[in-house]
This record gives sequence, C-alpha cells and structure tokens, in this order.
Amino acid sequence: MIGRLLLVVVLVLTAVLLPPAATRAPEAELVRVQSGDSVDAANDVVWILALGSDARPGQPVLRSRADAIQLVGMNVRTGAATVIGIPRDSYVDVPGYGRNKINSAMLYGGPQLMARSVAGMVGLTPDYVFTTSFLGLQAMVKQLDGVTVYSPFSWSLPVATVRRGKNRLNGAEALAFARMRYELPRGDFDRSLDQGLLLLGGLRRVREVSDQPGTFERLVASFLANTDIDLPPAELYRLARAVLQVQPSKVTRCVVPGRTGSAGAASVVFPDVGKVRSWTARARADAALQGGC
Amino acid sequence: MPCAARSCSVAVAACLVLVVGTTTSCTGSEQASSRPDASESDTGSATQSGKSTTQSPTTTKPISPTRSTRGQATRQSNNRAQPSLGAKPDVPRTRVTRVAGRWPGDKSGPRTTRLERGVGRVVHRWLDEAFVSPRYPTKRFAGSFESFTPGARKDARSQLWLTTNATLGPTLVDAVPLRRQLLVSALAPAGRAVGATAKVDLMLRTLRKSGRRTQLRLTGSLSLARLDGAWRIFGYDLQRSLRRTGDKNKGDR
Repeated sequence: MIGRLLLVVVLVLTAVLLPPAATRAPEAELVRVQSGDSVDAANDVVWILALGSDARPGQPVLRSRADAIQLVGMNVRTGAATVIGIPRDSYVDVPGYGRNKINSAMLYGGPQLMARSVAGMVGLTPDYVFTTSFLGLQAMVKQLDGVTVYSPFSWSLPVATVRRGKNRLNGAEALAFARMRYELPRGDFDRSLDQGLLLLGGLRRVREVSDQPGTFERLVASFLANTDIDLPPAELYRLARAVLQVQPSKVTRCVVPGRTGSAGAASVVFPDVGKVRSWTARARADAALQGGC
Repeated sequence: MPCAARSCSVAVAACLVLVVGTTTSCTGSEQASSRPDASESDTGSATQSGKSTTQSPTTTKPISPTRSTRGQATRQSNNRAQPSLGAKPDVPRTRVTRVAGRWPGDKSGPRTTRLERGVGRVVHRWLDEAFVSPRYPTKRFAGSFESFTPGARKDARSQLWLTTNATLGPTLVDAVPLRRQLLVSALAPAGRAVGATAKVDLMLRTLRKSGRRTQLRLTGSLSLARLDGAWRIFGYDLQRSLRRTGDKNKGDR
C-alpha cells in the first residue's frame, strides 16, 4: 500500500518536474560547412607520354610500333591540362636511327627511345612514359564499365558504330575508336584527335567512379596490370591520385599540324615542329595552353 | 511483476531523490548517466556524405592506436578548474574494407591487421594532435602534420581551419571525441600494400569557455602511400561542419 502510494507520488512529481521529451532532446544547429583538398604529387606540373602499342598477339608490346602517341601535361594545383596528339606518321629525327616515322622509335628502342624522339620533336622531355596494348586498353575500359566520348564524326565498322556526338563505348569499341582513321576526313590527324577524346572520356569516367570505396584502388591495380610503367607502384598510386585533380573542363586538346607527303616509298606527315614547340613553351610551366592551340 | 513493499519503497525513494535532484529519468532497470552528454545520441549532419559509414566491410577488426587514451588523460589533468564534458570512451576504429591487387590469406589475418595498424597509426596520430588531444585552450596546431609528405604538410598548414581545430582551439576548455572511424581501401599489387584511401569520420564534442557546446564533424578521405618504408599522408579531401548543440533545460546555451 505504502509502495503504491509512493509510486503515485513519484509519477506525479516526475510529470511535473521533467520537461516534455521534445524539449529534452539536444538541440542542434548547423552553423557552417567548409571543405578543401590537396594532393602532393611531388611536382605540381607533370608531363606524361602515353603510348599505345600496335603489337599483335605474340609480338612484344614494348618493341612494336606506337599506334597512339599522346603527350599529356597536367597541373595538379590548378586542375589544368594540355593534351598534345602526335600523328604516328610524323617524320622526325629518331636518335641513332636518322629520320624516320616517329612510331618506329619504339620498335628500335622501346618507350625510352620514343620519349627521346618526342622530346626532340616537341622540345619538352616527358617525366613518365606509359605504354599499353590493344588488350590492355580494352581491359582498362572494361574496368571502367565503359567510357563516354563526344565524337566529331560518324562512322561504322562491324565492331563498332560511332555517332557524331555522345557515345558510350565498351572496350572493343574504345579500341576501334582509338584506331579508326580511314573513315575520318583528315586521317591520321583526326585519329590523334580521337585518341585525345578517349583519354578525356577515361578521365571523366575515373573521376565519376573513383569516389566509391575501393574503386580507385581497383582502377590503379588494373592500370598496373595493363600498362608498362617505369615507376614504383607507390609513386604511381600517388601520381594517379594527382591525375584526378585534373578538371576535364580545363583540358586543352591539340593535334600537331603538318602536311602529308612521301619519304621514299612511305607515306608520312611532315609535322609543324615550330608550332608544337610554341605550345610546349607556353604550357611547360603550368600545363595550361592559354588561348588554345 | 509486483515487488515486495519494502524493496519497492526503497527503489522508489531512490528514484524520487534522483528525480528531484537531477531531473534524470529512472526506470528501475536502466539508469541514464548523469553526465550531460551521455543521453544525447549522434545528432548527425544532413550535409555530410556519410559514405564511409555505408560501406560493407569485408574485414571487421578494430584496433586501438597506441595513443588512443591520450586525449582523456590530457583533459583530466589540464582542466581541473574548468568546466568539463567529462570522460567518454574514445574508441578509435580502423578497418580495412577492400584490398585491390594480390592479397593472399584471410582478410582478417595478420597481414590485414598490420595494414590497419600502419595506416591507423599515421591517421590517428594526426587526428589526436590536430583535434582530440591538444591542451585546450590553445592556438598551437602547426605541428600536427608529422605524418604528412612535405607538400601535403605545407598545404595542411595553410588550411589550419580545415585540417585542425585551430578556429575553435583558443576558445575551448574541453573536447571529447564521440566517434573516430577509419575505413581503408588499399592497393597491393604484389602482396604488399603501397597505397591506401582512408575514409575518415571524426565527431568531436567541444566545450567553450562561455559554456557553449559545439559539435565538430570532420569527414572525407585521406590519401596515403607507403614511401621510404613508412605510410605518409600525401593528400586529403575533407569536409568540416560545426553545430551548436546543447540543452536549454540544462542552461548550457
């Protein structure tokens, strides 16, 4: 009886003394949100020579001709980048081998001779050389679950149909896009332009998906497995993170101009070396090609 | 179940004392702590991505860094004459959730544990020095980046408002971590981890000299690489939010 009486007293007192639950909840007020980021890539401006080998099955990837030659400068501070496409038939001096098509440099001396040949042509020595193969490119695009490119041309092959404008490409289609030249009005020049577009599409895709936990690491692992790189994996990881700082809207794409002609029996491109050297002189320090090509 | 009159009376009387004295509820079976913040749940933040908490960990092996209790000790010795938020268990957690590449063995095996410890030690050291363990009030935060690469350290020092508790530091008397979690994705191309992304989620309750309480939340990701045999933070992408928190009925606003 006494117990029940006390219980009633307690309940009454509780009701009087304790405030309603709603007012007991801690109040929370958002004051402000701030954010920022940084990536230390050792160097703020990095120049990479990206090569695509045309090695067929059974042929050595690093001792075949280079089908794709793209010089990429990027500034991890500003997010700016410049992509310079070099036509593979560019007739230049290949150190130790005289004048020849630039893509033959890889056949004679691998990626290192390619880098020296490109440096002699453009007036800028790349910091790193990456080389991939047909299969490597397809595998990397597969890891990205496809890439989107904005093609300036329409064409169709059994393996791929590309419309002018936006296209979503799988691995085999991306390879076809990077190799197509016969259906393009300026042949080798437009192919080089397309290769730059493919790089840009890959960058966009990597930026889209790399925020998903584990995805960035998976992509870097795929890159390591499908690319020849003269760089320790930890440094590559760091460099790859820096690449994500590049903003697609700040990428300038150019293709080295030139005139087509013949050297002996070979059909070649005589590149406008003065033009490309003026680009690299402007972009060397900050990887930004102000005013365009 | 009815109780004996005498024991019920004792229990009810005890509750009565508590109710009148502290306005803390008494259920007879589970008694809330009298510490002001103990009954407050995670208020969260609608503006945070919360991505680090939505992962499906493949490894669940929390570890405690060597300095996990340093903040508690510092607070207790440093603020005897000051109001305090009291002690709260600080359980820093580091979990490896994904490893890309070749990672032989069990994901919860010793290899993974070493990775958790290596990355956790570096990141928790920074969180300790920049947020949890400074001797508040303080303005000294610039030395919080020993585990950063030189370039990242330079950037972090130029963004102390983000990478440390510098904006609140001079006005604080206490700080208590409510959550300190790292979820790690690593790259191990040849059976050895060389790079990692650590999703960080730090929730810190702070007490200002004025008695006002705030809740700081730091989320985002840290990029780490194993350089010269040691893990180093070479990049960060962080979001920092600040809320005023408090209970009007306890006069702490």
